[in-house]
Amino acid sequence: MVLLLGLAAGCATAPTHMYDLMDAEGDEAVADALESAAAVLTDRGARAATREAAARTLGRLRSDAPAAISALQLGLAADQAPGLRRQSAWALGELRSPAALPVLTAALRSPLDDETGAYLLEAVAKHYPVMAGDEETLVRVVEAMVFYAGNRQGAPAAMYDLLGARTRTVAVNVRVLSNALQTLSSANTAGNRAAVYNATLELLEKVASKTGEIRAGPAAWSARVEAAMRAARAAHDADPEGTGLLVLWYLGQLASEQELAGPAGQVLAGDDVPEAARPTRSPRAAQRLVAAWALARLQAHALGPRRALLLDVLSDELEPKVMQVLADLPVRAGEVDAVQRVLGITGRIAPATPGAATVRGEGHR
Amino acid sequence: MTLLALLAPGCAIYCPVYATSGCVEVAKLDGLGAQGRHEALIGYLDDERSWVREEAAKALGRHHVRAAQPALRARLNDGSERRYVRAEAARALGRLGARDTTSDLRAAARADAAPELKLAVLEALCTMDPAGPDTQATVQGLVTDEDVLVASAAKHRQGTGCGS
Repeated sequence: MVLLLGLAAGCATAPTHMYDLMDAEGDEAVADALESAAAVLTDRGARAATREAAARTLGRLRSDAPAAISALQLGLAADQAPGLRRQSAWALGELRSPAALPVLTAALRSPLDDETGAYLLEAVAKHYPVMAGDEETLVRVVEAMVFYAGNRQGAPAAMYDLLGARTRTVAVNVRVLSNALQTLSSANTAGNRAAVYNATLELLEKVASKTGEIRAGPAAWSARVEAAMRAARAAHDADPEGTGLLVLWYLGQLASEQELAGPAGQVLAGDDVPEAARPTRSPRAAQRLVAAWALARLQAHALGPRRALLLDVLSDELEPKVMQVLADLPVRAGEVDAVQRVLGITGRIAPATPGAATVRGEGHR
Repeated sequence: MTLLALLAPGCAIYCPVYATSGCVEVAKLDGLGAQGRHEALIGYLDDERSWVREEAAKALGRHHVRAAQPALRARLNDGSERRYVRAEAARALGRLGARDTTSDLRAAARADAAPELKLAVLEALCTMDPAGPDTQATVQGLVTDEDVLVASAAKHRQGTGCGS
């Protein structure tokens, strides 16, 4: 009899019995099914196949009761077998519940093989409607994703970029960068500097990707653009030799967009930037070189860059390579060059005629 | 019942007590397909257990059982059927190349359908009729789906020529 009961109990926890629980209907039956599946999933002595079946069943039952969430959380833990972790990640994704999302984002910070990571990212992606309107949650998700990407070899699964495109709004990227800067200020490590660099790059890339929308609706975007530029400037100041050069180069690249160039010029060399803080006053030649290039491009849309170039570069710069940057900037036919623009020479250049002076501007400003 | 039977895989005592269709394992369903026992396999599409119906649909698609098309179509069109069974029925129809079911598939992927069903329909339509009007309309409609996986799958299909 004991043997029979033991065998019956063993049968009752076969994988197919777990699957049978999927058809539970009605609150009471679902609760019972959930309890059975959770009990099997959390039984570390149960067969792997049965535990995976239990996880699959919990995903199919789609109940976000605390017992289900905590059982799946255990299944997802770093010390569990990969098959169980993946099935648990999938099941948590199926719940599409605010209660499941924190478990998933926490797991992104645990050791993960490539395939389990991919399952996790998909599960997080299924929760997009849950997080979409909540900036705080989006920031937490993005930071977990960044941690995941930064702590693995090679590129993450394709879902990483897809999810990033949806979650990393300009506002979220500003918050993520601000948090990274705070962390850097308390511990200036290579890892934290890398985090700031990555967060800055993500922010500037996102801003660049939105130029069409910004152009179409500058008033609606102005606050976000200014916040982005201020955050980029802060990143520049926190790590001048690394992220700082990235910021200068990228803002120079964005110079063709008036709605971006104005705020960019302001944060780099505007009225409220002290002289010593202007990048053209940096003790590092590399900084001054990239700054000169960027400000020369930005000067068309803001006065600050032009003033900085006049006072810092044309008047005081001793490094020939920095001066050369201004001279080497491309010039459109008939237009004044960057140096002339700094000096306030405006207008168009008359076309050259044989035997005559080849340059005639229309005057100084 | 001898001890040997009790110890046999599948727990022969337990399953018949639980389900009228008897003891079923996933491998057994796939085995029916491999053995050409198509009628028996099609019969499992009516099993009382949803996971059995799901696995039967998978096996029917895997083994290209064309005779299963009407039964699979019925599962797809049954709005009261479990979403995952409908999804596997959709996939199976895609593998069978059942072009006369494209309008059923398109209807199944309506806005309020479960994401997994929409994904399965995308897969099925692109497999059997990538340039067809039902496929193009479905892909176009799902590109802006609120589900990230559905929208990205639709965009990918659109970009790679299924639905363009």
